[in-house]
Amino acid sequence: MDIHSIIPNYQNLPMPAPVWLLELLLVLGFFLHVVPMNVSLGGSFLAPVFLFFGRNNHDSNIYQLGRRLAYSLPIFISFAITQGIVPLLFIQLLYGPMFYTASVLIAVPWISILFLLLISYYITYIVIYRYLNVQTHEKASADTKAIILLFIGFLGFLTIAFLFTNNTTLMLTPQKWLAMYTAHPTGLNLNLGEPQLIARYSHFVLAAIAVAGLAVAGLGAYRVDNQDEFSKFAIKLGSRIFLSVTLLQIPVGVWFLFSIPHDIMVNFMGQDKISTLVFSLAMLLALLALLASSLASFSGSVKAYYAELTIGLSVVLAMIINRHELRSFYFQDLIKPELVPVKMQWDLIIIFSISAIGLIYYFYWLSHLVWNAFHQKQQLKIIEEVNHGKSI
Amino acid sequence: MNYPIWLVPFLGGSWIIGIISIIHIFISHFAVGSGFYLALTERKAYKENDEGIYDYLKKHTRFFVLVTTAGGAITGVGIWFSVSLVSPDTIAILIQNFAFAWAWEYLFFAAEIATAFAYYYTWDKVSKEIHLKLANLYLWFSVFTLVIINGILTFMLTPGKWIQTHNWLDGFLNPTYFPSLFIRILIMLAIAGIYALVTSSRIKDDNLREKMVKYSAKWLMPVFVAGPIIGFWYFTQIPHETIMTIANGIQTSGVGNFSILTRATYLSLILSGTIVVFAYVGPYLNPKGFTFGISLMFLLCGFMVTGTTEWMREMLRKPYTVYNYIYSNGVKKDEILNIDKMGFLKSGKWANACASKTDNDIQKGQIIFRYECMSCHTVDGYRSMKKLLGTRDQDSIVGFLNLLHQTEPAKNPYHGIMPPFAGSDEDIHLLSSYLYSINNSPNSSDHKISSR
Repeated sequence: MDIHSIIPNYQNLPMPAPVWLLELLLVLGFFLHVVPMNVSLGGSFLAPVFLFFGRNNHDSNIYQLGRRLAYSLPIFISFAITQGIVPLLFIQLLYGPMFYTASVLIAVPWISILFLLLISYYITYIVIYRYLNVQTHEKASADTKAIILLFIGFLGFLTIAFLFTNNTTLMLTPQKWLAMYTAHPTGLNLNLGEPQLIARYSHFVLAAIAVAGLAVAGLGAYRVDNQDEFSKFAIKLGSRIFLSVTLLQIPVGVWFLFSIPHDIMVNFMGQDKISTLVFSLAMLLALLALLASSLASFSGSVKAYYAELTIGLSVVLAMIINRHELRSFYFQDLIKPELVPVKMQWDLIIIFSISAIGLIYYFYWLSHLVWNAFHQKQQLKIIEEVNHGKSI
Repeated sequence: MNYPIWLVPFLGGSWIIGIISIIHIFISHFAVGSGFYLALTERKAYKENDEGIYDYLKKHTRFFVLVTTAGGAITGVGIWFSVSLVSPDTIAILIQNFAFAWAWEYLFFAAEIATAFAYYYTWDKVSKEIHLKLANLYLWFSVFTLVIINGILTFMLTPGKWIQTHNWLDGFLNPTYFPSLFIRILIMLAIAGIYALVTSSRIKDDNLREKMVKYSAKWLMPVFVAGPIIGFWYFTQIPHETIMTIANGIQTSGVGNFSILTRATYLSLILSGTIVVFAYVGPYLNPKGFTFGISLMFLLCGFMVTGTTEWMREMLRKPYTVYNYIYSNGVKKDEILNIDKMGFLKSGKWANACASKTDNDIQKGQIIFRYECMSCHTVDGYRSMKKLLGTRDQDSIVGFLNLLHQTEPAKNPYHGIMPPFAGSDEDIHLLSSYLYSINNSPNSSDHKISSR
């Protein structure tokens, strides 16, 4: 059977912009999605672990860190969903024929993502408002419930990640589609026979825990002005998590690399110049990130943390470009979005670009406002406490 | 026919979209309506310097953030998920046309969500003036998301000049754009009022509860005053054939022969009327007697009106997903002649691939059934073919399919209600073989299981 006979056609309509621009937006959008998504996935694992280790002493740094991480989760989850719109939009536009088909084949597990997400999201709200709030946080049973519930939420996110890995790998391999559909046209399929599935999944889940480590350290850097001991603790612990998980990524990454078909893998090993360059750059950046995180792990210094954060996020971006290249190699003989005619929607693209700049400025203004709101409040509290102490 | 079809037993794929959409609309309308509610109510608190209203708003904000940022956002993405599973060609058309409009909406949505969190977390942490400013910003961002998404939603019913030009703006600023925008804003105010009735009924202080219950009830009124006028405007803009379907239904109501669309219209009007009457005599005139239980009844009624009205709007668009361009079964209007000539099973990639796996007529007919009929019918569930076919023999099924095959309105009584049958005489034979086998013990038992 000619494999092209089951790859659906693009619509008989023009693309709104050239493929390079759409790819750029896909990669950037995916980066903006991956960062909060990783903190949600990794954070929902780390928060219950921290709470577990601090359950006997609620004033301990580890308990406080677990609590703060849990409190920040809904914001990260919400942003992961919001930022997910962009890559979901552009993947449909660029690779719709592959993406829609793979989604239909695994329709039931795919749509269950919505329910898993809803449950895991509301679990974090239940935990922070019911079990971690001021009135009840001293009760041991509340702690146990919080830990168990957060862990269930983590299992939900873990399953979602697994389903995404199933879809993103199934869309690369149309040779499996027809047999799969014939067996279960009701959408009760998964891509379990895929050789790279488990390696790829493990690589991405570990990455999520590493990025969540950066967020943990960030909770320390955020509090640096008035709780020095806590902030040092958080920076050290978060950086150690990032460091150790990234070290673990070395064997897992190699496993992933060798699970990719040889003729595609060699593109990253010198055959394709750009891919090899980006891959090498990612490796170099990863090495630098290991150095910066070692420094931050031992010193707990905010400066070292910012270096670690910047390099760490650059590694994530470089890896996303690698991931995109990998998909392009799979698709090169299957689908060609660049052959669809382009009719530039200049008016809309200009409005979008101006609004995007406006949004960046607005986010800057809003984060400044929120930062001041919380820090001034803390400073006022400290001044009040000092004055109160003097008057006594 | 271009994509594989997802078989959803009993319910049918369209209801998967329907359920997720109705929940999303009820929450997203609350989200935008709350933009008005929070901004205007906080302004009221500020002007009256009423700490009671501030305290109430703080609690209402938590409820609002919990419902909208999680439930609203997830069901919104859920619509994309479900439409791409059920009608991949339709969503691909929308995305190829409006990708940057959606991307533009995303910017406002991101700003809306960020502002909602900032608004919620900065109660008592910033000055009252700045907090009010955040409420106003949230209002504008949320309205802008509506301003953009409304263009894509209304495009599907009335694509206007886009059919000729394929220019996104022609499709976006289509004939129902403005009436739909205004009527949605009015409905949003009412839904925000309904949710606020729920939270205000929980206020402990008697005086404040009465004040806020009465105040929230007022939010339900604008839609009942201006709604009918804008509704009339909306109906003047929708396709003539659709209006005829409703009108015929209304004319024949007296003899009990009214269409499902007319029934939905009646139900929507009756439920809306019930809400306004009860809101007036209940929380507005008698706020003292208003309880949490009654507020939940309002919420339920509001949800039912939303469901019925949105379902009605979907029905208005039948038999198309993009009016005059692509039918609800994924067949494009301008492809029909070609499909008739080529044969259905040779015209689409996946239909062809599935058909090549069998030589059995009934199974081939089943593939045609999946593609041409299952977007609206199931074998034995929603709009069950088992019931609709009853005791018909194969000749009468062929006769019916020949009627459906006609593209001229005068020759096809189902024109404007069902997509015309696309395919050759051979396809009609194959489909009729399958349809006949549904109620007349087919030879192969395996196809029956997979077709449910």
